[in-house]
Amino acid sequence: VLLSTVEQMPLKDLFYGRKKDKPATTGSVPAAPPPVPPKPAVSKDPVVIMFERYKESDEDRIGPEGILLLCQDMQIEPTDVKILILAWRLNAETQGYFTRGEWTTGVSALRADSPSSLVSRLASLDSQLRSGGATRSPAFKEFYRFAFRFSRTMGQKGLEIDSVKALLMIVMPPGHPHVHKLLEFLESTPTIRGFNEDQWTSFLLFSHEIKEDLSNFDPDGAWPSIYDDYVTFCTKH
Amino acid sequence: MPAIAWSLSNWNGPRFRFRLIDRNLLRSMTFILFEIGKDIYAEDFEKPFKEEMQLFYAYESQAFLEANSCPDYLKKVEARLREEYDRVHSCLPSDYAGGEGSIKQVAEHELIGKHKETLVDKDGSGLTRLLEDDKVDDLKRMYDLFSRVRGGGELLEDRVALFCLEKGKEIVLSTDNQADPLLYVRKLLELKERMDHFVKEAFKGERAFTNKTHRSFSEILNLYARSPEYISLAMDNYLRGGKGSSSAGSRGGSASSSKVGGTLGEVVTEEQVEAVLEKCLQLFRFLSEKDMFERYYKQHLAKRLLYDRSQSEEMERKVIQMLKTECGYQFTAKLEGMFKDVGTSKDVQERFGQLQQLHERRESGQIVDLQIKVLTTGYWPTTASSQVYRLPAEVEAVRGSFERFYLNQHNGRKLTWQLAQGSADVKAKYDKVYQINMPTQHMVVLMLFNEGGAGAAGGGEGATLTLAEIEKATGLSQSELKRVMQSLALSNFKLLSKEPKTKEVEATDKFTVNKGFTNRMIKFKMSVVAATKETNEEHQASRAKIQEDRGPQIDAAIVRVMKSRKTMNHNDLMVEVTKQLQSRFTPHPGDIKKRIEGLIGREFLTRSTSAMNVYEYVA
Repeated sequence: VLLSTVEQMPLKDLFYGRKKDKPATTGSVPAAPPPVPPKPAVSKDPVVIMFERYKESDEDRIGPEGILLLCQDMQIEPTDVKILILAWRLNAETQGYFTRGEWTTGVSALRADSPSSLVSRLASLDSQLRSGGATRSPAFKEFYRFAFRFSRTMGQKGLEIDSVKALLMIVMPPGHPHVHKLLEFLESTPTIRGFNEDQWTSFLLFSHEIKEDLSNFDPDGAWPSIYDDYVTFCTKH
Repeated sequence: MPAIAWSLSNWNGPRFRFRLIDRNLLRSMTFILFEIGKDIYAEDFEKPFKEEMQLFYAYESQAFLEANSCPDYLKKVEARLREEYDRVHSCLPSDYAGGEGSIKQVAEHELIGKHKETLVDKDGSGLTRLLEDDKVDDLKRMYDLFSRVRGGGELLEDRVALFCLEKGKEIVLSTDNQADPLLYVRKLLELKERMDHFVKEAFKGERAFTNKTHRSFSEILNLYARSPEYISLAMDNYLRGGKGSSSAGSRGGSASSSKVGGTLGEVVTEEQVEAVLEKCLQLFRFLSEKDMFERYYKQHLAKRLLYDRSQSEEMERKVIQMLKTECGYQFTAKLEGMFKDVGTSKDVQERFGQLQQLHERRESGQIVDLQIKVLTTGYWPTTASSQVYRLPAEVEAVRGSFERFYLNQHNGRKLTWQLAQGSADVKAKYDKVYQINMPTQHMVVLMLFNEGGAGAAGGGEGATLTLAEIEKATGLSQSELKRVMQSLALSNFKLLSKEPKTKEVEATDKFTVNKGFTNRMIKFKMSVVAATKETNEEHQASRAKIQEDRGPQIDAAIVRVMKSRKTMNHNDLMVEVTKQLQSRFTPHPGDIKKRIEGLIGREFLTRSTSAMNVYEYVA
């Protein structure tokens, strides 16, 4: 009920459809490797075959449409965390796009040769990262931070609040402490327009350290002040 | 042992009856006992002796207490103890460790220690009453007796500090006092004097009393947000040569100032002025918002300097010196700059005057003397940007002349005329020739009514000008002009007449010279340039500005600390930053936290990856 505004937003727009930051391949995608010399028309490498399937017609990279197609092939929703995990493992630079280099290096490293093998690799990564107490692992921490930076608009230091809410829902395993309440808090505090990196990163620690009943929260502590407000909100409701 | 029983009865005896006892006999007995054996002495004599004494004094003290007021009780106790010490000293072996002392202690404990709270709180005669009535001798005695028992001194210190706090609260929270800055400060100065008097006369200048009452004063002064402004206003009054009399609405002030224990009296001689200013600075020290004080002091000083209202430059400088010692060079740098400007301006004016004499004075036939002050922007409080309006020809001539002169001397500088801050001495011919000091705008308007003035189209004395015409001729904004006309036509000195004779100035009004004008004094001023207390809106605005300025100061402190420590945990950082800033103001922890977050966002700091409450400096 809370998240209707977010849910109703077309996923494409939320994550992949920001036309304004579609970078031109020439020059402004920093980590893109130099154009690979034209490969033989038919390649035997399954990874490359996949790339060819999903890539854009006019650019040498996979774009939002391709990613949607990939999701279909893998039989997952585009909002599935596995896509984000994929982006993480591919070290993707730009949201909505995978360069040839990112794809071939990353997917090969995952040892996947087809959408189905890819999806099962991602699924096992997912359970490694997020099940049980795995959210306290360094790997998850890295993934969690990546998710924020990846979702930012280029050049911005912060992430707008709707993206924050959606990201929380995707990245955090269901039932993770404080997520639900925080989303409630953000919903009822429209003055909060976005998160900065410090606030995002701190939340992970907050969710692990601070009990659900908030009994061990120290208001004089070093938590970013947004969490002071969050706690005040919770004690009132 | 019968001998012991005999000694005891002899001991106690004299208290009930005035019977001479044979002290020598008594002493011989105790000494013999002591020689026989220390433990025998202790067990068989001293112990029962102490018990007897305790019972005796427990009973006596209760009886005394019920029957007597606190000071009378204390007198009795003092006498009693003196007797007891005397007896103990002459009759008991004194080299027995703790013998004399511990016996004294029993008496002291029974007579004083057990009853100290009761005494202090005794209705109608306890500590509060003694302080109110300035019973210095009783207080002295109380202090002397109380310091002999454990916790006695402390109890007095705390209660005296509490008394101070209560009295202080009464002063700062009284609406009458809040309405009159001078009265407010006077009352506080009186209280301070009173407390100092007690500490000195009754409590032997004991440090603990001073410290605790000072803590009370800190609390008192920071209860009312306008204390900084009021202290500055009071000082302003004294620096102008005001005698410290309160404004009309508070005659009661002088009645209470004659009360015993705190008289401020008239402030007339230089020594008195210096003394009262020093006392004001003592109050200043207790302020936690010293930056607010700085702001007001600057504004008030500016007015004094610009309008030559200071009684004595030396006194002004002394105050600056005191502030510098108190708060450091930074605090007073701008104030000193203001003084420098005034001094430099005098030189500039002299040189200009000489130059003028050589060239232009006789030329135009009208002699306009210019008194000029050149102010360095940045030292002086910012004023609303001044309007540009048209000056009468002769005034404009000298203005232009000065500007040329100055810019010639100082190439590359820029002069912005603050006409609104200035004033003009005008000779006005009505029934007599008056000499009137008025703000520049007033002069500009009045000059239009002269022959040959803008509206005078052959009219001479009968010139009538509408508001619109005046507006056009002078270039003043309508809102500003309305205020000027209000002052010229409707206030105390009606130099002009207004048609129609309504209370408000309208755009369609017409003005003429008020031929019927007369005044008792030939020389007078048309505007009051004394510093006055701000309206509530102005106060809010000042406060907002100060708050704004504090943000960057907190940032600077944080960065300074982090730069030198490289890494620091949250609590330590808060403490350090507060310490750094405390000579100016006391930052709220919440504010510091927000600024830290801002600095993290701007990448001056980061959180440590290993512990979230540790910050690291980003080089």
